[in-house]
Amino acid sequence: MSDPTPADMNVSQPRKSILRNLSFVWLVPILALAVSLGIAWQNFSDRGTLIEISFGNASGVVAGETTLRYRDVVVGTAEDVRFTDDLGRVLVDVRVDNDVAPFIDDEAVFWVVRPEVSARGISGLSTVLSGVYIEGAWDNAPGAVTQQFEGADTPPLNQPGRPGRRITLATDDGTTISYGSPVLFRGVEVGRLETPRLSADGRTVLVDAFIDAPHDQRLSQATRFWDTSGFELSFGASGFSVDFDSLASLVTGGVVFDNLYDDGEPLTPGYVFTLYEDEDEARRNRLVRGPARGVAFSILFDESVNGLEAGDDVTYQGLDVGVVTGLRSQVLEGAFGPELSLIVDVAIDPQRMGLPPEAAGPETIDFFRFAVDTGMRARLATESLLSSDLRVELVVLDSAPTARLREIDGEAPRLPSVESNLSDFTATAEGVLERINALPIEEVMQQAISLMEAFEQLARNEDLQRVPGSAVALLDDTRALVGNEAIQAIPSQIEAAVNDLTALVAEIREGGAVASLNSALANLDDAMVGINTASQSAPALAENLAKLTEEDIPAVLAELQGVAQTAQELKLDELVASATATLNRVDALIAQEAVQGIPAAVTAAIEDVRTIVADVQAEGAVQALGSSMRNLDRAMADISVASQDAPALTANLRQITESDIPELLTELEAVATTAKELELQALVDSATSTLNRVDALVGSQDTLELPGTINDALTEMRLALAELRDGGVVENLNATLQSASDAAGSVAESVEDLPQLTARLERLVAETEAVVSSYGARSDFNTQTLSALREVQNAAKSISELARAIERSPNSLIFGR
Amino acid sequence: MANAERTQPVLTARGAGLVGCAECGHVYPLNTKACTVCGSRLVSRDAASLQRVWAWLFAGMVVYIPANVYPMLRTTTFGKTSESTIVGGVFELMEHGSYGIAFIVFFASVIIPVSKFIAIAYLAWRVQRGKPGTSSHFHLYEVVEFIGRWSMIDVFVVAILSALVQLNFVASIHPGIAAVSFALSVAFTMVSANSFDPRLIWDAPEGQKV
Repeated sequence: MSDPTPADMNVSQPRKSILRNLSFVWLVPILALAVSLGIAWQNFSDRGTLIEISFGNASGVVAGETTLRYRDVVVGTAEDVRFTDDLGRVLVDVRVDNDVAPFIDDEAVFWVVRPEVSARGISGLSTVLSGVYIEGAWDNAPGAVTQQFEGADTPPLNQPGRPGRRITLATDDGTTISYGSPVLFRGVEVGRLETPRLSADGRTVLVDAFIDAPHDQRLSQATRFWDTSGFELSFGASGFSVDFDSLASLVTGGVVFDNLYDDGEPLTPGYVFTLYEDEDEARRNRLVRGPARGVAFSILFDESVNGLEAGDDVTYQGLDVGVVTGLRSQVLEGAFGPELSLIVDVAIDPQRMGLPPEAAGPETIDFFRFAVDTGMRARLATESLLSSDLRVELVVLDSAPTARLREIDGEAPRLPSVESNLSDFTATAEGVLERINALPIEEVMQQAISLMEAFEQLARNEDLQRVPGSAVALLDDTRALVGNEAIQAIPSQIEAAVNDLTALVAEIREGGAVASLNSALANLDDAMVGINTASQSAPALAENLAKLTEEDIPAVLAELQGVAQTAQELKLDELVASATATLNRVDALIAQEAVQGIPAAVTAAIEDVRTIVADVQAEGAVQALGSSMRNLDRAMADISVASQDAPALTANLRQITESDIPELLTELEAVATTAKELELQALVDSATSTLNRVDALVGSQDTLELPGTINDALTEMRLALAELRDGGVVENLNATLQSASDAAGSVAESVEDLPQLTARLERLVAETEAVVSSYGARSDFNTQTLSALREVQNAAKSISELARAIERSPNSLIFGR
Repeated sequence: MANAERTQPVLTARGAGLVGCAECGHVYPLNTKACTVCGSRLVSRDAASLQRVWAWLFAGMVVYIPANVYPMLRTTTFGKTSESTIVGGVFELMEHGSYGIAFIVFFASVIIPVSKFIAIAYLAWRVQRGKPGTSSHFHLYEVVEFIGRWSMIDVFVVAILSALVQLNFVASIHPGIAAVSFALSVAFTMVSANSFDPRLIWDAPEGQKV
């Protein structure tokens, strides 16, 4: 081949250094490397903090896909899902963004959000498509980074950083509460319940609740929770009503709380609320159970505490001041060896007793020590009308036996107790109903029968039987009063007086004795009218008794309790006794001195009459004697004229004047003195004797002789006349006789007034008869007494009808007629 | 073959005292500085070519690492987001039974780039060592240069899917960081392949040539 033989080329290339040959293109891989490394570094540094969360069940958690969210923003991703060494739990490694990692400290909680369909709604729906994710909650304050966490199976209610308060409720029955049930305050949901759990001893169901702020400020020890689950049917006076709070609470249960009073003490750590079954119970149990509040006391009861249970109220004058915390029995050393005693433990709230809120135990005990000294006692009382529930009642009794607050070391101070008034409380309709409610009807019937027996017994009762007797005695007394010797004596005395008066008619008329006697008789009449009125008031009393028997006793019967319990022994007996006593008092009234004194007064009146009569008699006698003396004087003047002629006559006359007449005067004077001095009976006697004496005087030898003497004198005078015909002696004698005739005429005139007196006496006797007859058969008093007895009979009949009615329908006691 | 090479040395343009335009193929005398036709600079041999090849190749390999490590696609379906890398996507497709597509993806995304790396490195290595090339090397170079663009099929898929599948909640696809890396890797390797002066294949050290 022909060689073109090119020019001799100097193509030797200059040796360049490596650096000078280095192309700028090398910057590209370096840049790429740098960028790659930068990205890698950025990824590495940004990959976040790895935390480890353990779950009991990590269903749906996929490594690399499941995210960790905080407030629904993804802040991390699950990198690995594995088991613990013992395969007990699932460990999920989560890579958390660095910006939130510092906040994930000890309090952080994690749970897996899954779709959930419940009565309260559907939640976590987005996870149906996106898969589950892990939700975390933590507070806003950075803390020490923690690597290990324990995840919750359910969303916690008190998520960290969520303001509010977590509380614990205790209840006996957990069937109506469930996880997520709302906590309502006046119908507004302010919180949620967590899952109920059993207490360690298995007796109580505990459930935590989380109350959102600011409602948690309402919580205090005065807060009561009650269950509003389900619905409540009530049928009452207001009709038929169905009550439920919300559909959610109807299905899942709900809890409502309210404060029973203001200024409740703040909650203490570990405070456990009681969840009551309903509002009534919650409001009833105002006091906290347990030692947190209240000062403990114990009460020893001698009687049965059946119906009392823990949680019952302790009241002071109707105000709840405490609660029964427990019942126990204790063997105490008694006088006759060991005795089993029932001890009731109570807790008294000092604040409810009016003590200052800061009062602690010692102050309260001091107060009670003082209160017990002044009569405060504990006793059992019934809770309400139709229940046999009991409560403890603090009462202040004035008549309480002395007791002191017993303070035993190591035990609650013991309040003294008194017998309850359960068995003898005042018979009210409440009591009756309560009792009937408490007792079987047979027992009521038994009581009715025993009541009847009691009435029978009452009918046989001595006191009741004594009522007629008393009435009879009353009548007897009246009769005796009427038939009193003094009254009986009145006619005879009057008769005697009449006899006296017969002799002294004119003087009596002049002395106004008849008027006095009339007024005395009028007084007697008034007295009789008074007695009659008294007799009439006795029937009114009987009528009252009858009314009492007819109205009040049935009322008493209506109050079966009191009647059954006490009437048998006390009330009716007392009633009868008091009726008897009343009758006896009436009897005594009638028999009393004043009334008894009426005859005495009458007697005294008559006595006065007698005195007057006697005075009149005495005066009249004197007057009569005076007139006689005048006549005699005149006669003596005549006689003295005659005596000049007849000394014998003068002698006779002198004899008369000097011996007989003064004697008579003396006698009369003595009579007058005696009459003034002597008492009635004696006066009567003396009057009689006076009359006798007058009689005797009249019939006395001297007096009898006086006519003879006069006759003699007349004879002598006749002789004298015969001797001295024209001496005018006969004319004088005729004048003397005329005077005597005048005297006789005046006596006759006086006698004419006597029928008038007799008529008055007749009227008096008639009135006395009327008085006596008013107590006889068909009298007003008898009628009244009979009607009273008839009323009693009616009352007894109505009682027996009532008993029969009760026997037929015992219900009527409960429902009313 | 070695004997054949020796017995039949290739006459190069340089050997002929010519220089050819790389753009339009016009041949000029050796010292001509610029192509009169297209105005390109005329260089008989590009001495820096190998450096550029190596540089782009390294860059491509560097960015190929994150392209495989980081997810290519972020698919969000009904709120559920899944990220898949290239290889992960291949296995995913195989799990679903789409072996054909899995093979295509695997071929385009893994075999071709890796093969390119190897082929370019091999060619560059040979040139660096001054070993005389044969026509088969040249064919290899041609294949590499031709097939390089097809590696972008993945990137195209991602780009198209990302553009099309934006159905909000139901489904949405976003390119991952690997998509960018992979695209860069492909681009770098293509640049690397283009930087390679195939005329160097024919050159052999003077010492060995005889």
